[in-house]
Amino acid sequence: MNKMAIIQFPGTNCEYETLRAIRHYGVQADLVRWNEPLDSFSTYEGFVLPGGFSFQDRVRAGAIAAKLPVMSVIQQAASAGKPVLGICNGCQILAEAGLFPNTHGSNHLEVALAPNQRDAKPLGFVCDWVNVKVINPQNSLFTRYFSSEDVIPIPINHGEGRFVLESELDPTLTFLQYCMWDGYVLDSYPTNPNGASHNIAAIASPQGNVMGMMPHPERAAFLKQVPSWIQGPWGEKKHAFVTTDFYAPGPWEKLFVSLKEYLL
Amino acid sequence: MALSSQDLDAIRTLLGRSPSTVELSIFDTMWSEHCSYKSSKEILKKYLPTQGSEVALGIGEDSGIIRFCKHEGKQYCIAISHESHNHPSQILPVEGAATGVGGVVRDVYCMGADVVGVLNSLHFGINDGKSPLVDDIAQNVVLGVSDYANPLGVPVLGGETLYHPSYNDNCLVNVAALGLIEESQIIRSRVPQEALTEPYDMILFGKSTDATGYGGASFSSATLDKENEAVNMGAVQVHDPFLKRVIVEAIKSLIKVVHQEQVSIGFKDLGAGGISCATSELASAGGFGVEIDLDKVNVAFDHLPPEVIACSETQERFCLAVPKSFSQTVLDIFNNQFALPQLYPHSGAVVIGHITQEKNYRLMSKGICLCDLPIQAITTEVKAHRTTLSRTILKTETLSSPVLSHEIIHTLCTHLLRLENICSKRYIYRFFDNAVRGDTIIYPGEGDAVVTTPIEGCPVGLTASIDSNLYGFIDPYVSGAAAVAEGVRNVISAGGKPIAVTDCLNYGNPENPASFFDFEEGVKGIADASKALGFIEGEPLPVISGNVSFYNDSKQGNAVVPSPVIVVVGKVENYQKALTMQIRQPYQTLILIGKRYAEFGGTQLDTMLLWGRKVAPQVRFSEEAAQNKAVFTCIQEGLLSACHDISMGGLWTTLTEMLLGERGVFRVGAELKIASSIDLPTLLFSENGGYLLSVSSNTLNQVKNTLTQFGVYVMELGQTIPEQTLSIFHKEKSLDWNLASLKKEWNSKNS
Repeated sequence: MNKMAIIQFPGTNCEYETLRAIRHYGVQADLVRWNEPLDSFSTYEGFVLPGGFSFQDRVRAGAIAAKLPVMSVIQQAASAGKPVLGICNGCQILAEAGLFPNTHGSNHLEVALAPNQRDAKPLGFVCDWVNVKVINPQNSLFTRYFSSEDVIPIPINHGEGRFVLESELDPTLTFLQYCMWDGYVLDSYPTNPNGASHNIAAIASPQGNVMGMMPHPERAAFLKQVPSWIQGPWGEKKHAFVTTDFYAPGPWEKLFVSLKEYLL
Repeated sequence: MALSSQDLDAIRTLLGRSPSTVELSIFDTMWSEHCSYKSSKEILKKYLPTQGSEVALGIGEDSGIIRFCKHEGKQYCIAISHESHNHPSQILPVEGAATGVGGVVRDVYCMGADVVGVLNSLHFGINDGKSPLVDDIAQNVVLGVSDYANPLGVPVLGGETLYHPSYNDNCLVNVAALGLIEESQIIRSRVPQEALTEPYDMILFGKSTDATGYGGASFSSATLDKENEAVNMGAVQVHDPFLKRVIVEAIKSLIKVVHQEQVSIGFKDLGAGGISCATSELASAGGFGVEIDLDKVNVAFDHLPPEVIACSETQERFCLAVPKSFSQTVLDIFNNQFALPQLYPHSGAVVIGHITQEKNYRLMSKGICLCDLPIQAITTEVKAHRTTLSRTILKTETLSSPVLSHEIIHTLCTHLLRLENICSKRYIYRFFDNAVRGDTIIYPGEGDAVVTTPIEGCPVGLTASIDSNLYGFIDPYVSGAAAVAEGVRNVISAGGKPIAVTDCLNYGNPENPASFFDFEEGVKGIADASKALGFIEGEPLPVISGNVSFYNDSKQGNAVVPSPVIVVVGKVENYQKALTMQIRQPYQTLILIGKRYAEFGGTQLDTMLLWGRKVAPQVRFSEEAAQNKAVFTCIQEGLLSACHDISMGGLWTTLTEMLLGERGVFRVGAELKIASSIDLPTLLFSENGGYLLSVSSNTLNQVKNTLTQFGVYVMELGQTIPEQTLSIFHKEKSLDWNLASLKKEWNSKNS
């Protein structure tokens, strides 16, 4: 089976739970340090850039890591159509490297992840659970098993997660939008938790093999991770919590399963 | 320099000569209150129960360690360290609070454990117009904690925030860190006996040494004053959680190799007193000496005076005693694999000296010996005898209970939820990552304590609560006892069984006999509660780690409210036993456990009515022990639909929190029918320990039987209803609220 590499940048801090979630759903994966010899990355058929604070968010979150030699490998993989998923700080790094949405294939910066805002005022770090829905789920290998009707709870933990777009988003791209628990896309705090343009939480490339997402699917991979207070079926299911399966599937099971089947 | 003239005389007598400059710096640190516990040691030893059959490593090293659970043949333990960083946080709140987190996690990492969570207890002042910095300090302390814990990748698993004007000039920032470790893999903070027959190196690793935090330990051991402001600022350390994260990953790699190759090492973090403190303690604990070459220390810039290199408190550093033959492996992990020198100028690992058989502490610089001390002279026990000045503390209330009209009670209820000590603290904890590592299953605010499942594939949950209260002015003994009792209740309500206690004791100047009396009373209270509330037959809840912070005084010289902060750690046998506090179904019976007493000294009702009540809510150990066991049994048997303990703000606060839940997404209301003979203010606002249970009709009889068995005081209050209202019928009157308006009060600081 094709293997994925979870890249450990200096300052990454979500690598272990990301590895655990991915492996649990059947993807073979290794944790690989940023400064391993470049040719050691070539055996991998996909990459995950996990969350964290690479280089302490100096300059801008993700800006320094995006310049590391390992990113040339990631860029090649992205243009070769291999899966590349950036979560939280990984999303910021991919954005700084111009790897998504990358509408023209030129790795030109098209989005930025700016400091969180509420009503156009600085908000600071936000740790919370939000809901998202998927627009054009069929156009990305990460989201193809979701439906555009799904409302999916997921946690966010970031200080710089406000999507700012260079130009209008191509409407055919896959993207995630922050929404209320009934699916309504309300552009105000806390539904839109950071002031993101068009409530955007994630964007994929036109080919759908690269995606940057600010929320953390690895923290919503299992039912046990869901808080019971959230509104909707997942909160009720967690409250009942009758399963004896410690790793009973959570709201983001489909992302990981899809990834596994893609890599088969 | 904080050494007194008596100290200087004692040092001269000890050495038979005058100390050198470097030696003086070392004594200044090592004999400071902060490092030597010279005032507190005697009291702590006299009272605190520290032994228990499940204690894997008791008080004495950087963390205490308690056995947690067995999984796949491995004995897992929890290592805990609990520290204060009050003075640094008052002066430079972001840096002070951040390095508070940074310091306490190092204590856990150096046992070989991986930190799985931190808890914080923050005590802030109340802006009265005369203390304009109070709000600023509160805000920046919160940022400091999040600036460190979030990048480090350690979830903030709980906390509490208390407000009181006595903290206006001296905030309290207490942090506890919990680490996971297998018992067979505990690494001790001492040079191993193998050093008798094999050459051992002393390795320093982490951030390059600079001048930050020079004199930090001695300034924490005196009252803050204006004149020394500039010196004090320099004594605060600077944090680098990014570098620490990489160092921690490197430590994990190192420890793996150490266990694989079965190398005996000694490991200690650098905190107060820097290199001199850590290396001398590491050597002396093993019965060895050490010679350090200060020229080898990787410094951030040139021309640092040797005493600064020896004693600065530069953050993110550790030291190791390893066999000389293993040194290269260590250097390679830090300097090449994790490339520390490329991430921060001059950082990394270096051999700075070697272990010696003669028991001297020797520091060399440019070929000259700057310090040559018998190692026991540094780590020798220094004692400062303190006297106490007792005061009369009333234990029995003689005043009759307050007579309040139903209208006033209604207003007080509504208003209580707005008080800064009662209202939702989401405006603080939304800054803290509570889910990194992916193991959190009960989140902050969902239950009385957070539950996490730190062992891969293992259904056993870890729960912990951090608690204190504001009873200390009225009754310092109760303050200590109530903090332990509350922590125990929180752990039980979350579905756990309490297994260990840690304490962080924040008091005023110990040279002031009145403050020292408060301290001694607090310790007695903690000790008595720990002895009474244990869960292993015939054993106390062991106090396995702690810290003392004195000199928490205002500019006028008044001490802060005596503030013992307690962590209780618990074990949830199976994650399915974990319980939250919100009631989600109508027609659940509400049962009060624990008799209410009209003891209002230091309570939230007291603050609203200005009665000047003089008896604090007493902790009745045998009643509480029975309640704890009864509720524990009900939860373990799965008989409750929700549970929440009663503490600050009384039954009223407990009930509204159970209806509002973590986020104020209420699902049901409630209707209480209270007999006319019951004194309503005492029922609603008394802060004596107790619980409120929510029970469905299916299990009601079983619950009642269990409670009868344990002989606890029980009162059936009423039931939940589908309507989103809360009503209390009493003496033919009905007090009514709608939940939306209560939510608004309770959420007042979140908007």
